Amino acid sequence: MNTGSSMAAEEGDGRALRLLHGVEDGLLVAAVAAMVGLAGLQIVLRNGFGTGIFWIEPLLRALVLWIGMLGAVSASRGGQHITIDVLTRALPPRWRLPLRAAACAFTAVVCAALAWQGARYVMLEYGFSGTAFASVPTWAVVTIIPLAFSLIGLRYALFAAIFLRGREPFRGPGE
Amino acid sequence: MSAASATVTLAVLLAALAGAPLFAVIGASALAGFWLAGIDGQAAIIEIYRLADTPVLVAIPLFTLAGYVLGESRAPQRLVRLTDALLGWLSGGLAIVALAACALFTAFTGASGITIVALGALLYPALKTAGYGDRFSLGLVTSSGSLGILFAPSVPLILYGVVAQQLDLPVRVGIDELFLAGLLPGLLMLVILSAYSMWQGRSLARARTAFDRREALAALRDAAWELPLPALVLGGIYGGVIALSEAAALAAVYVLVVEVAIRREIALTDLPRVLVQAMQLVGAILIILGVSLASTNILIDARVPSRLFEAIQGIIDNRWTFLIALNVFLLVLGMMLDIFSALVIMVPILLPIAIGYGIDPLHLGIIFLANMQIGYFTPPVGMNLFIASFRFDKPVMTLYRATLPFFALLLFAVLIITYVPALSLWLPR
Repeated sequence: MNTGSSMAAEEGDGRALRLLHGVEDGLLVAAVAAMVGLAGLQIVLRNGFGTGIFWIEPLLRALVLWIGMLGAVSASRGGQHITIDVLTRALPPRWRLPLRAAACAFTAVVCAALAWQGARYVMLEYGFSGTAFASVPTWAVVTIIPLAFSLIGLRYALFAAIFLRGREPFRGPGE
Repeated sequence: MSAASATVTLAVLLAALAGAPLFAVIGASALAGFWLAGIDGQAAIIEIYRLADTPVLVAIPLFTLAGYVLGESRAPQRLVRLTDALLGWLSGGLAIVALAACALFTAFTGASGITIVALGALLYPALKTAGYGDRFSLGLVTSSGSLGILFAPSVPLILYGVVAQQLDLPVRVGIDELFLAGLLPGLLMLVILSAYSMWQGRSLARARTAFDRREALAALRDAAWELPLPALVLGGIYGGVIALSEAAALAAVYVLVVEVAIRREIALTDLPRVLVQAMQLVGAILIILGVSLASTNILIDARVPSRLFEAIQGIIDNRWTFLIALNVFLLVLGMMLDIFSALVIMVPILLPIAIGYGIDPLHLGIIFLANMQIGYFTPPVGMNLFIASFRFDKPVMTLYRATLPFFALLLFAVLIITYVPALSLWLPR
């Protein structure tokens, strides 16, 4: 996997895209800061004062889901998701580009399906009106799943279009 | 297999080969599997939601964050200076320094290639200056990039524990036990590679410097802020004083305070970039884990592991033959899949089969990870080969040749680890 900086060659003037990236990154950074802060606070409270705040534990677990999904959205920006990618690496561009376009289109369709199922599940949980922790409803925690899959799916649909036009939207590791 | 599921399998395999991300490939199989079984597709989402219901997972973003922040600071330089001051006087000393530093660093950063980027760049020129051959030096820094994943608190070890705990096994697979199980096998690899390095460095006069007490003290003082970290985390975990997620939180908070607030080696304005980069890796791992929780469910409902076990039992009738087959299989797997995807995809299938052959789940975990560790630099697609090729600006072919002796030695270590279960099980069981 590519651990380096995002090498996506963003299409278009991308002011809206930059704004979207800013919001995504902002949410991600806030979620991580919350996780570090709350996990640290919990240790201090537990070991220093022998107490704890009951909702920190479930909130931390919910943050794992949020950070995971937001991180995955961020990783999709530069096409940094884990792939097998043995076949296409060796192919000439004439074959590789349409194949990669098909793979990206496939990914977009799968993400759309997962986003759709996710949205249905959010509605279902909304009907149950169960609570995840404190007074935060479960549906609000689950919402990140369809949201993230929608954003990832949109990216891959965009990548598919760029590949079809005969260009590389991102560089993989070692290429 | 019905015609419908055969079609789905074929389509999904083609997508994977065309370069579709694995999370999409696994997600598609999960959705199709539920659909074919007549189960509502929301079941897939319920499984992904289990990411928010697994307390140990909190450790993964926190340790990864700590690792990335350390990698961005000057901590790697201080680590190299310190190990050099302490071990540099040995014959082959610098090479052993490289191995020890890489193992420690990888245990904390989880072999995401960051070891090669952060430490390799320091060690490779240093090794060459000390008189080691170019090929040996390259091979050493590349293959050390995955050395140390058997030591706590490496993320692959934690992930194996998480996946195993989802399986409802008859035996307990504690992450604390896994940390103990990995200790001796990890040391074995370190010792074998160190012995090889001493042999390589036997004729290098310049590789030997006398032990300098003043430099050792200065290096200790230089690394004074980082020194408590391994003691805190490893002592806490191995000593059973703190829970894993607490150790991870402690590591993250400590590293942030030291490198950002005290040493100021990472500017506060630069922190979001480091943070986002670290979480991209976490996201790439967790999204695969999420969708594979769903697909694993289908596999188990369809009794795939037990059917496979019955089929394999017809061909392989004893544990030792199974272990040979397992090693070959894992080596091939390691060439194609990275460690994280291999873990979440294959462990749910392999673990029940291995238990059927009387293999301890802890031992299987160590065998699995040890094989995958070699897979990191096995041609053609070992990830660390590409990272090293990129970092040191060498053709991948050169790296294939350079890592060959290390591959042979670590393969030897893997065989010992596989056929001497006591090495993994003596400490935890």
